[in-house]
Amino acid sequence: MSAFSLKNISKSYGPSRILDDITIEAGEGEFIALVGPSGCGKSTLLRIAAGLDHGDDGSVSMGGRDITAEHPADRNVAMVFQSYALYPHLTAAQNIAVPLTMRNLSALERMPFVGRLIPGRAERQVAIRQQVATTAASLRIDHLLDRKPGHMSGGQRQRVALARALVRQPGVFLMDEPLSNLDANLRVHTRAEIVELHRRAGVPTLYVTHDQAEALSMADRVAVMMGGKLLQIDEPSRIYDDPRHIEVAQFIGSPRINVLDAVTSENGAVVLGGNVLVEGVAGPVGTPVQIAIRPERIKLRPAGGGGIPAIVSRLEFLGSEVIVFTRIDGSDGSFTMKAAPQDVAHVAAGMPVTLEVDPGACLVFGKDGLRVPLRTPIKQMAHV
Amino acid sequence: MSEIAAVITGPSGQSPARQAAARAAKREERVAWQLAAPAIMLILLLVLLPTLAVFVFSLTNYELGYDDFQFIGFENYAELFGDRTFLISLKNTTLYTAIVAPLSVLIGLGVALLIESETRGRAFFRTAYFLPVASLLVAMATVFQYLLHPTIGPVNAILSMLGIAGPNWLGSSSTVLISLAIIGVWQSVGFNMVLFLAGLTAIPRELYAAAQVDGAKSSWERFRLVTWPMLGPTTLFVTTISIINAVKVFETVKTLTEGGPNKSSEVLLWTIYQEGFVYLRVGYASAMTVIFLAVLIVLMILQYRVVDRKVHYA
Repeated sequence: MSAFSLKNISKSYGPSRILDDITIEAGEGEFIALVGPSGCGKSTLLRIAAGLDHGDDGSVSMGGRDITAEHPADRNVAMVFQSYALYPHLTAAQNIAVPLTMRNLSALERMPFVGRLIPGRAERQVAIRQQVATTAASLRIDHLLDRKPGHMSGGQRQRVALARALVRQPGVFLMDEPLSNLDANLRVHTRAEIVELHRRAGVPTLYVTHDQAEALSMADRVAVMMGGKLLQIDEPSRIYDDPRHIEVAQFIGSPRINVLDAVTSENGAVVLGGNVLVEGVAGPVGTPVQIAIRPERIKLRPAGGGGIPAIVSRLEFLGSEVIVFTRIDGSDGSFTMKAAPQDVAHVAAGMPVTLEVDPGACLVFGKDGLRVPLRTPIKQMAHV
Repeated sequence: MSEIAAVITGPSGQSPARQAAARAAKREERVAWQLAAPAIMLILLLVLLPTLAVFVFSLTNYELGYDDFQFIGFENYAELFGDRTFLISLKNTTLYTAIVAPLSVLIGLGVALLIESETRGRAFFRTAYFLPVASLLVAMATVFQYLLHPTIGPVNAILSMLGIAGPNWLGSSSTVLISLAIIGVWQSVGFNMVLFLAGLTAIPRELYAAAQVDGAKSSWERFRLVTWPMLGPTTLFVTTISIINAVKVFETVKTLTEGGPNKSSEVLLWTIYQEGFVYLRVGYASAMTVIFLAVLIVLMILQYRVVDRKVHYA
């Protein structure tokens, strides 16, 4: 039984189908990143998980309980918003306490003057204050508790928003691009912190992001969404190395994966520049396919060797690595690759080179974008 | 060596860059004054001077048509606080404001919330509620005169169908102020609604989502947690404007009751108008105007001192 699950969720606005039969099941304490370009429906899916929106079809359940029809207030979900959505008139401490006061105090007890007269309220308020203090301490924001959001930096607000989500011990964490308003440095730092908080809380988490690096580095599993469809949900390494769909391959990884249009020849082989890139592609001779190769799996060799002849068009120095852009001789195809700076010290734009593709590096996709299985995995790139 | 230093720093002992900066700053200051001059002149001529003139008049016994007048100090003010008409007028204006301002703020907020929560017919309702603001109150007063007429008016006709004997709305001293207040509320609700609508659209949607997730289940809880505090600055502004407008009530009094019956709808502006334009006692009317201005200013200062700090959170 999964701790939190979305089953067969579909939703349309008018004729456009923005969510198409999406099923995601999160295990106990599992961190799932929903990643995709903007407009792919990931935020809508998160809102449906929170109960802020409703699907046309499908169900949401938490700990085996069907909560599809429940109000967000009853679901015990915690959500962190991109804009943090802190209440600007309340101090940090009051902001963090809101979920607890709403749950633990009755409407009468929350009233300004009458509330004080109700027996038991004082003790419950002390308990709430203690919980707020503990949560704030764990996020190291105890010194901000008396400040209002207007007097805090973006990073501090972010922490208060996280504290507000953590304080209630929710059934599921929902995070909607919580890092995208932070500057680059802070973002990388906070990434690690969120993962650590999640590990300690042990609560299933759905984390929406458009940043594939964030998704890969944080999540136990990554769900890639495109145009309202869930293309693949898998561990980060499998999403990267073994994408099920050409769009997954293209979305994940930076620089972008190299993609070539090709047709198969004898034995289901794909030949480029006199080299067999891959063999054993299913289907008759002449099947149109797309070949995708990760940039770091192409090696740069001196011109004239056995490999694909190409010309260097541009170099991008990134410190620990260099991105080399090349044009393939005699075709309009181009390849991008990653190399160590010392390996390309002598390379300049306009220089002819030879490209060598790692054996088994080619991913083959059919016309429909789906991965095509290989009959015989290739061992060594062969020259013909 | 010292000669070279003298050349570099120039005769005044400052570096050329410093001197250039100082010259530029001076030039900029001059341009700033030139650009601001027309606005300053207009404020002086159109706002500050007339106000000052009113204050000076209030210290004289000037009457329109007479060539001669004397400065009589604060005698006008002394007379004011013994003047029964003025005191009644002060009391009536306070009462009228105490009815109209809160009601028009609350109803304006209510209407804005209703319109905001429903997408259908939003433009229609917005226009409909705004119509009284755009229409001429003097013209609309004739309609109210008909509506509230004791014998031929539809209001009393409906009341009598229900078996209630309707009062002489505008003609009886016990109901006239309430009748005027109803018209005042009718007129200002639309304006307040438009301001509240603008305030409502400025509230981030994510706050409502956060409130729902945090456990604010009913719309009342969300109103208390998000809408009301976020509308703080708007509410302060709307309340201020409503009070000012209520204190300034004149058109309906002039067209419908002329302060009567028996001074029971005597309000500040009406009294000032009577003294200044009917009895032509400019000095005395000016003293009233000064009091009127002082009341408004004190109200505004109080409001902003007390409330402003509580509604702006940044």
